[in-house]
Amino acid sequence: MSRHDLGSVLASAVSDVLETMFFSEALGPCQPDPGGLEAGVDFTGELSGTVTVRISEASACSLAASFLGESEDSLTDTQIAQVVCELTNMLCGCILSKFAAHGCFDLSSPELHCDTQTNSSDAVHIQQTFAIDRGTITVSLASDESA
Amino acid sequence: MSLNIMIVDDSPVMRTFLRKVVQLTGLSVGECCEAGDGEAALNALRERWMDLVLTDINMPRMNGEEFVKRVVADETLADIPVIVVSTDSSRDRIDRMIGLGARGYISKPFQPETLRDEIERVLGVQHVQA
Amino acid sequence: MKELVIGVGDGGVSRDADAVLITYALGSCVALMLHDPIAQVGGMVHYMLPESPQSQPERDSRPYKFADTAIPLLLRVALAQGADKRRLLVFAAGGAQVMNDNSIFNIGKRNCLALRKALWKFGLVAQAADIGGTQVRTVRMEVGSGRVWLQSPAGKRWELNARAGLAAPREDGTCR
Repeated sequence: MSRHDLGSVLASAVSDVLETMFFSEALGPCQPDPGGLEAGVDFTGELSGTVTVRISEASACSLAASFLGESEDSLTDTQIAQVVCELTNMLCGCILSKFAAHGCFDLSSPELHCDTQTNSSDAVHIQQTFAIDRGTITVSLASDESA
Repeated sequence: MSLNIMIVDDSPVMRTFLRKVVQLTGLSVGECCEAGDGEAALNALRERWMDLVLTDINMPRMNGEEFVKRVVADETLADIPVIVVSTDSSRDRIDRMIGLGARGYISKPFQPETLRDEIERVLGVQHVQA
Repeated sequence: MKELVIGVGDGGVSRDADAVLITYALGSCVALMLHDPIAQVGGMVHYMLPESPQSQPERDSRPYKFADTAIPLLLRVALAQGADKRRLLVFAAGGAQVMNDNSIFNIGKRNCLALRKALWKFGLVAQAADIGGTQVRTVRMEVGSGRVWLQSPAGKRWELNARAGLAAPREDGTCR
């Protein structure tokens, strides 16, 4: 699969997940906002690697409120972090399902990163940033084998 | 009669989401219990009867696949319908889980109505004209 | 039957079983309808935009114009008129992608997302919905029966079919 195709897969996965379970949408590619919350999920199977998501704090709060059906000011930092982790989990699953429809994958539990992770030296690495409500979301896929 | 429903997922917020979907069904729910992994869920099932279980697959300690195998293998639990709710939408996984005895399967992401419909299908809820 | 017209950016609730709530020419706008079949209360809103502005006076002057203020307001008014939330049937129509509405500012799609977000927040789910696409719709809801009819500009007419209420409990207790 070409980098262009991988890019399309990431974009499609972001749209699917945000629209279906967060009632939100990706507004188009952009430059990432600084800082924010970051979470990662490792996957193993036909391919192995990591999906990482970084999201602006305001966007994380907005998405968490939508996901839980609550008002933003009623949410705790823990809930927001857990929603970011679940968002990462779903994006990982959605991305993998789009470029490997038949293989089974095992996913690790998503983990919130205290510091922004540096890019690994994995053979395949692709990253895209999208504008969303109140900020940006950056999705990265790193795999130790070419797709 | 009220139904007892168990939700098994290592994500607390996903458990909250699933609990909300259960409420959307309009079914009379007695107890809605939660567990963070398959082992905790199995222990809970042996303590209290559940009419339906919703389970994730990727969980620590005991994953959803092992959990479904154990439920089906236990004659005191085998009649409890289990619906899998997972990020894995691969045909291989779906076939495997249904083959193990899961009665339904929903892939994330999903619209709340989709899971609501699957719950009603598995429980045999029928709709009649008012 | 008495016709009560709901204008663009407006909403209303009726307890008159002879009344029909109507709203015309739904393009990117969304019509949300609530109906309590026992209390025979019916409500409809025709909202235009997903989010209300920050300014309170603007939000207060046209609350039915924006999904995030319109939907909770319609629900409050319907409950105040005697509807029971547990019995409410919810219908929706509209949210089309109209001509000249490019993908960046797709108001129809954003209105549909706002609808689903609000329904989720208030623990409601649509019994039937005819949303998206490119077709302009006119909607009628009979307050007495709760039946909802749609019409296209060409005159084609069709009914939004609701999921019926749950069956009575079976002997094995697997449904209400």
